[in-house]
Amino acid sequence: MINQSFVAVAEPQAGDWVEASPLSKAISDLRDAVVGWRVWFFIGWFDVKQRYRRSMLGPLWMTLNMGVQVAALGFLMGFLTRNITGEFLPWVSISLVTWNYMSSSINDGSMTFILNNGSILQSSRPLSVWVLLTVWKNNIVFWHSLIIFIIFSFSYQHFPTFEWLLFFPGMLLLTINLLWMCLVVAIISTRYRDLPMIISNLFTALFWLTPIFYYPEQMTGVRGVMIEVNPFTHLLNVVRDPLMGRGLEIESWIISLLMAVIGWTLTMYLFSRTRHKIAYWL
Amino acid sequence: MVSIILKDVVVEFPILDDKARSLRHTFLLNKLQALRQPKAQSVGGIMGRNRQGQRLVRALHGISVEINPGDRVALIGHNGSGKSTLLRLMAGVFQPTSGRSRSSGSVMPLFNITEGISADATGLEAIRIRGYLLGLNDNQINALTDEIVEFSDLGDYIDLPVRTYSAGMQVRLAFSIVTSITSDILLMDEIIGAGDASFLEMAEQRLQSFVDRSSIMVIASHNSDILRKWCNRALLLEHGKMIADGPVEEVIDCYERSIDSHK
Repeated sequence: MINQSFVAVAEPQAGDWVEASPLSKAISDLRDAVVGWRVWFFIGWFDVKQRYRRSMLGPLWMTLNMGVQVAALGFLMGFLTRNITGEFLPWVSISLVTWNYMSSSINDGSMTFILNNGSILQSSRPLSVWVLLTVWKNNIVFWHSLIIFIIFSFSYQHFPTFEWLLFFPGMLLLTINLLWMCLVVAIISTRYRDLPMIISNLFTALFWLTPIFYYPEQMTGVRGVMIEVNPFTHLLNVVRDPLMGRGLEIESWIISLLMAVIGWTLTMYLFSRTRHKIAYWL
Repeated sequence: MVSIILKDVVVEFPILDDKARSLRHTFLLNKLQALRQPKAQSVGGIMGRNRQGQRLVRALHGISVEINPGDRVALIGHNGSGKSTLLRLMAGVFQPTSGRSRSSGSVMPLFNITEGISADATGLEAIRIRGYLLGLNDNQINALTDEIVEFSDLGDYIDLPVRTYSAGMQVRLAFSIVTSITSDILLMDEIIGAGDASFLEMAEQRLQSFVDRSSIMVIASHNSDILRKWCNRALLLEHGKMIADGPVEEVIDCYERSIDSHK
């Protein structure tokens, strides 16, 4: 027999009612979810695996799906946008893989609390667990799809350089941003059930405003400005540019860093105001 | 010290029906809705509206209670009297709208014993997932697995997906997992449905020792035999108010008399 280690409400021993502030409760919710990583880490793996269970390729289907998408759309769009250099298919593949990571993290994010309502109403487990689970699942998909980029790069003689190492901090920065975005949309969507639909429409539009099937420098004037104000352009840049030999685009890094700092600050404010209400909204 | 303390607890649920939930209504239409007078009803909490005109159900009202080690508490009351809400409050799922609530000690809520057990998981995977959800680490799960497999008596089925199990077998598995863990406070909401006679007999013994190991138990049930057997104290709820608190026999008798007098 083992003593259960999951302590739901740990309060000071004294008889007085020392209530933690809402903000510190929100912070410890997040901290407990990170410390208790086993739950979302394992369930995330399990969910991704079980989607492909009994299929011959297993999770490699994710890779293949992406390959077909890149090949089909890449050839067509390359022709239409007159981007027929050897760089284009690697560009499209890394852009599309990263875009899918961003858009499906946030789209899934909007349903995070709604779909896990059974577990949320069951115990006082940290709510952030479900947000980490959502982003983690999409992260797993990302790494599987990334194989496509490697294949296209090598087949177009686009080989790794030391610059590629910048991809890792870029990916980290992107993920930190996605986590707060996911938490925000999860909270608001639980209260206002229109948001998941709004988000999915928004992302359909943003897809074309993000340099995926074209290079940013091809868009000039108003179109260029629209791409610049799209935050996902910059988040995509910090991940993609090192891999495409475009170096460190300082502007995108600064914008992404600022987004992470300001985003997390506002998110923690929202989370501390709403955390105790989420169970009531389900 | 292990305890549950509630002081003047009020729990109000906002009724976010499809209209209230949509942005359109929040910003445009809610202002136009006239306030209606609440009607009297026999089940459920008290309905009302808050200052913004939003519908509310007051599920719990003015509950003050202190539960100490050794207490085996039965929650009794009609449907919708607030039993499950009170359990969820003790589990820390709900925060009180006003008043204070505090549960000190490790809490094991058993509201849905098959939580986290996916139909596509094998029995062993289900044990692992549920173990993580209960806050165990790998070593603890490994240490418990053999014992769980043995008690559930699933044999080679433990390697097959849960989808292939009968309803009774699923309950066996879930029950074996949750009762293998000890916690200070045990919260139960109408436990054990399916399961054949031989299992129920075994289950009862195991549940008994499971309950004995925890220092506080709170159970909501309509089965007065089980409550009489397991509990030493009972709380009677009506429309979210606590109308009796005392030894289990007296409170159950009081409740049954009140049902008879309604007939």
